[in-house]
Amino acid sequence: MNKIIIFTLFLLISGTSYANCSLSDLAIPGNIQADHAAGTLFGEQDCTKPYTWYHKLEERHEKNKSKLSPFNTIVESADSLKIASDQSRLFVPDASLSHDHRQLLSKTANHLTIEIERARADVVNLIRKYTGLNLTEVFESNPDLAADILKGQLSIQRWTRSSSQIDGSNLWNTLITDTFTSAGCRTNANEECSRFFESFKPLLLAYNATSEFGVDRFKEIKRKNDVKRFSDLHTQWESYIYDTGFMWPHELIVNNLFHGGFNELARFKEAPTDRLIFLHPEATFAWSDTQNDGESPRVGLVLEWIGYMRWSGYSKNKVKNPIGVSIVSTHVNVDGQEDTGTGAMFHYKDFALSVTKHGDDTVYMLNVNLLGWANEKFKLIETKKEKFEEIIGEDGFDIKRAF
Amino acid sequence: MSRHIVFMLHGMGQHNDGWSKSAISTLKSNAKQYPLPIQFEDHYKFVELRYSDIFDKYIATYQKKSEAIASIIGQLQTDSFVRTIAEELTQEPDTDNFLVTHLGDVALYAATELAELVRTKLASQIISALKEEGASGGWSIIAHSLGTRVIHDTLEAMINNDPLFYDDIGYPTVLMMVSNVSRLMSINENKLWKDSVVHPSHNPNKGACNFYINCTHPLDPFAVIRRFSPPDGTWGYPETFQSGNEQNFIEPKIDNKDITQWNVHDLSHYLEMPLVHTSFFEYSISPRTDIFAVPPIKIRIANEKYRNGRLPGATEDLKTKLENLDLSNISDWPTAYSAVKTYLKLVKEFLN
Repeated sequence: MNKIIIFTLFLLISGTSYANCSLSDLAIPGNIQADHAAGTLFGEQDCTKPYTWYHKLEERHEKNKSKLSPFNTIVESADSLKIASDQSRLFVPDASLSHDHRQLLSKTANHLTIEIERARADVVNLIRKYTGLNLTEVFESNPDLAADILKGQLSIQRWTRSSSQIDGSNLWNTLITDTFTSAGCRTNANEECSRFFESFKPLLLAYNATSEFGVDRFKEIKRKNDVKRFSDLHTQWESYIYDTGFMWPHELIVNNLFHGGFNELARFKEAPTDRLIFLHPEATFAWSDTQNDGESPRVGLVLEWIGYMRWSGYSKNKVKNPIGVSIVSTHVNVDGQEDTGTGAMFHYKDFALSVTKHGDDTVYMLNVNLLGWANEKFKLIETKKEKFEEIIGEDGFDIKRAF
Repeated sequence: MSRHIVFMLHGMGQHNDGWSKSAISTLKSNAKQYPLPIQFEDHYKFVELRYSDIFDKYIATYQKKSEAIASIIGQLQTDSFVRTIAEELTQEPDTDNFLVTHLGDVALYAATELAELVRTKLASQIISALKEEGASGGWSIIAHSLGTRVIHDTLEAMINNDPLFYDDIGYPTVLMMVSNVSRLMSINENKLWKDSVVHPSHNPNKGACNFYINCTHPLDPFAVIRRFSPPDGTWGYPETFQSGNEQNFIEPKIDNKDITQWNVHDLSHYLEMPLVHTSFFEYSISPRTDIFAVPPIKIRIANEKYRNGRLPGATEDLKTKLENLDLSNISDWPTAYSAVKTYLKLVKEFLN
């Protein structure tokens, strides 16, 4: 975007040497219509030909865009800033300009060089500080630290053109807009201003290179980091909802209140490490100590009145080792014993086992999910057993059939 | 050059992939009648956002669990308090009932932690799209109904959780809230007006957008009950200007006769209105208030043409019936609920 603005500015005035790049409208920084028009022109012809250094930076930026690690990105930014700083330092205003305009441009060039060097010093310090560290890990595991690095040490805001159109404190305003205004060329398109714009081009490009190739690279890292952070957070919340035993609607409401409830001013919250169980019905299979040996388990119903589960954080964005306990009542029909009973239910990972007293009898109940899991395991064992028998064969082990 | 990204966010109810096609097509076909300084396809890139799948997944799991419990209950030979309570707690949701599918979404968003899933998903989608396309062409949001509250909260969280929000992706140019329920779903209105960062501001380091376009049809119950009407001098004050050249809170003046289809709440019904779509074009193309992207005379002509094309007769009948609901004077939840029910009954009758 900055690139477009810059070219918009000089194309407007340089009617002779860049006749095809000029615009009928007068552009002011921030005029989106002019930006767009300039963008179209820029696509049609090469107005940057004399500035090969800039072209090369742009090419390298495009080429390396997707494959740089955070640390390499910082190193490359330092390189880009060095090139931009050299261009600004070696700047010489056009001799045909008026004395005042030459002085103004020299002053801006000095100021710009100082600012680029300051940014470069920040980047070099970053490299010193983080050499040997896995910066990808730092960025991914600690977003707050990443934010500090980006904001505190590089002062991104100062180089963001759009960030301070009102308070006027950013470098775009002080270095670029103010220079044109002071020269009386922000809204005038006379011949002197045309030369002024033409002469100013290297400084505009140095500014742009600093902003785009020196600073914007950090934004790419940040966005990549942000996408991952939100995506991880989303997966963790999903695991909380679905991997800690299903939450019925009323349990969703209760747990929402338990974790702070509705906030008029929303914030992203870390996924919880605990939950309440409240009036939670569950389908189960039951074994009673009065059942005969070999008798199939009965279907039963468990109602968890109240309970509590917690887990030790998240591993690969899934709840890690959830455990819990609740007070339950159960209903199961077994001949010769009371249908309902009361007791406790214990949760560990996918397992949930309840132990309840039905009069003098004890009933054990396993959640259906667990049985599903067990069946899968049994099936797996069966398959392996069949395979094993196939390999061993009726007449004993046959090595040829094994391979 | 990056295109201007427009995020489309749906409202209540089930929405599948491609839900935004009709709304985008409404904008595109209407853009042709104005001499815009841009080419529609070249300037805008529409990105469809979707969160209804989160509620759909939950409802589907809920149904499955309910069926499992019902099956167990069916095999029990006797009654008990455990059975009775379980039956009550696990009644299957009636997914054919509008109140369940639509207002169910509202309840799940407002009262449960599924909202966290919604917001994290949207934040990830927004940043991902801006990472891919680049934010230099600017970005805007068109949100509808429940989506207005959802995006309000998502922006609130994104801005407050990220110290680099403004420096990085920058705030949206236009936040267009169609049938805005942000206030309807607010519990602490004082905080909504005084403490929320979601308000317009010309200062790109404050607020949540450059321009806030609030579209309310006078006969749309979801927009009119507890209508989004910020009190002067409190909402984001002093960043929010509400008059003159600095105006950044825009409310198209929709007439209660502006009805071209039975469902006045529908997103495309809103976007069809010249006052609505030109507001979007105007501020997303030319954010400077002293330059017009759409000449005012063209807006007037388009609006006259639109109003001449409104359906008389049956629509008039619907209008009278909707007016009788006296939506703007409803202040309590039970009356609001019953008004919404009556509204749905009316439009259903009208449709038949």
